Amino acid sequence: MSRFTMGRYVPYNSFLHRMDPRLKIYSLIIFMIAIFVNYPTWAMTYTMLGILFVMTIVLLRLAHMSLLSLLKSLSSLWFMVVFILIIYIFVPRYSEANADWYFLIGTYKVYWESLLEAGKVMLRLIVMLSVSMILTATTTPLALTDALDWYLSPLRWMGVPTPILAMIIALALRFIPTILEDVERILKAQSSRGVDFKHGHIFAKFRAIISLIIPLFVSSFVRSDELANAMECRGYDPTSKRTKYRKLHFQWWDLFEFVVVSAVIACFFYVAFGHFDAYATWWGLVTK
Amino acid sequence: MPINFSHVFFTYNPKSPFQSNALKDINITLPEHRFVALVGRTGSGKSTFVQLINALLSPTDGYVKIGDYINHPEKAKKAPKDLSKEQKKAWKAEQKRIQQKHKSKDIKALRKHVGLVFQFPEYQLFEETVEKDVAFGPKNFGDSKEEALKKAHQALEEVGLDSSFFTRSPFDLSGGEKRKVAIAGILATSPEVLIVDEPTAGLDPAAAKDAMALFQKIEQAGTSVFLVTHDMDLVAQYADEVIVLENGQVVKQCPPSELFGQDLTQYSLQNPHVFDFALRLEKRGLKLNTASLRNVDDLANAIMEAKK
Repeated sequence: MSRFTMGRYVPYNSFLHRMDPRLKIYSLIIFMIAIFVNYPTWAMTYTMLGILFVMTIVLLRLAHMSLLSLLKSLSSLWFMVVFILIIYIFVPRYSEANADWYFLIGTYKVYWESLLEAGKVMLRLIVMLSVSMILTATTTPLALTDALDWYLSPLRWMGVPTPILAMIIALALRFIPTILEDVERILKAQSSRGVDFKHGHIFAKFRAIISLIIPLFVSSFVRSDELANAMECRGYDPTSKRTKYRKLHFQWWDLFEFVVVSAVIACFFYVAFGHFDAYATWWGLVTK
Repeated sequence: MPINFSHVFFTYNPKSPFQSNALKDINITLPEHRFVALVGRTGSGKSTFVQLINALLSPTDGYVKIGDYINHPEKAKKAPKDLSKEQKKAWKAEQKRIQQKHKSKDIKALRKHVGLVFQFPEYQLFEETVEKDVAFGPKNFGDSKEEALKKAHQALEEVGLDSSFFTRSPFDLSGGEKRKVAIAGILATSPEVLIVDEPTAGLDPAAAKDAMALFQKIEQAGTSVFLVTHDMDLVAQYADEVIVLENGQVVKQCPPSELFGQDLTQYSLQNPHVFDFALRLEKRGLKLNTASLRNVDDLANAIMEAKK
């Protein structure tokens, strides 16, 4: 189980768990934008990403998660980080202004800016993954779907079948743990038939994966068939109007959180789009 | 193959809200070359127990010894504080040796000797023909293609599928036939210990009887068979010994006749029908000898005996 638990809903009762799911999605989206916009200088880039990183750690703490175990469980991320680093070293990226800012390995020029760029990408990846994990770990799949349904609701006026879309998303989310359980079960069944998923050369591994994927497909199709029948038996009609059992209410503290999140991110946007260089400004004030 | 559990604990999802202690301090030596039934209510730790024998899971604490293989915890254990420096060094070296063993190919050798048939094993089928699927196991354990196919054919005939099935797709078969193919897939590796988890679930009575007869035949040929089940009739009929798990602990290990014929509600088990019948007769004043009661024939004989 352990290797698949990351990103799964964990029932604690934290402030993040109680937050309105719509607000959480909104926050996630603007957080993501703040991660991916370009900041004016290298110093500002690292400062802003650093602030985002610290905010992420605080949020992780609040959600009863630990960054360390998260990074451990995303071992493939490390492979990617090394890969990115190598790419940036061999396909150098540097601006004209910093063209002579490099060091030598043998006779090969390694630009400092490539390393900075690689570091930026890595930070972005970690922060992005962490915040998405926070969202899925603190929000039940049902709450997430309700929130998505709410966001999609304006499209209803354009004739988009939003209840169907919401149902598809709900089912997809609902079946992630089930399919992971299937993976676990088939993995064990094939392991006891001597399949080695960890060792062996590429071809053997490929074969091992096939012995996992085909049964998985078969059981998924069987499952979806059964589910469709079960839904029909209980009178599911995609076109009819549906009422909701859980209603989302926007409370005054949600408004407060909304304002705080928006204000913080607005600062980031000001830095990014206003080309605000805090260090230059500070230097200007000092030397005046 | 001697199997020995020593102070075995197992915890799922430790240090999270999903934490559950599946096994608590299990100490047991499993008998060899016997038909052993493992019973207990849902969630009593039966599946965890059998997966430890196959090293699909490693204990959280303690160890399981299966023949030459020792299934140790995956994480290195911290040395106790009161050891001297040399002792600590030795402890660390020992833990390192254990860790390495986990990565070695010994596990594969173990799995060759211990076959585990999961519940609803038909989900593990994936090859395009039945014979290829059954030969998959032996091939993984190092047999050549021809050898593996030969073993596959043997195993398929053993479970009662003749040569007309060999080249069919496993996905075209009926549920019962799929189950047979999956069981043959484990038998083809000729394990010394065979563990079957609820093999009769979802089978029609005739197919269930066939399956049980097959396991009995395998046991008589010198394999240790462990049957995980909820069906007490099967236990009474086939098992030489029964192990009762309750709340992650072994609460009883005895022959079936010793377990049955008394009030079993404390283990949330039910008596098999023959014992139930005998108990009711007893209440009405007919004392029966239930010591060797296994099936309906035995019950009839016992009644005849008592009536004499």
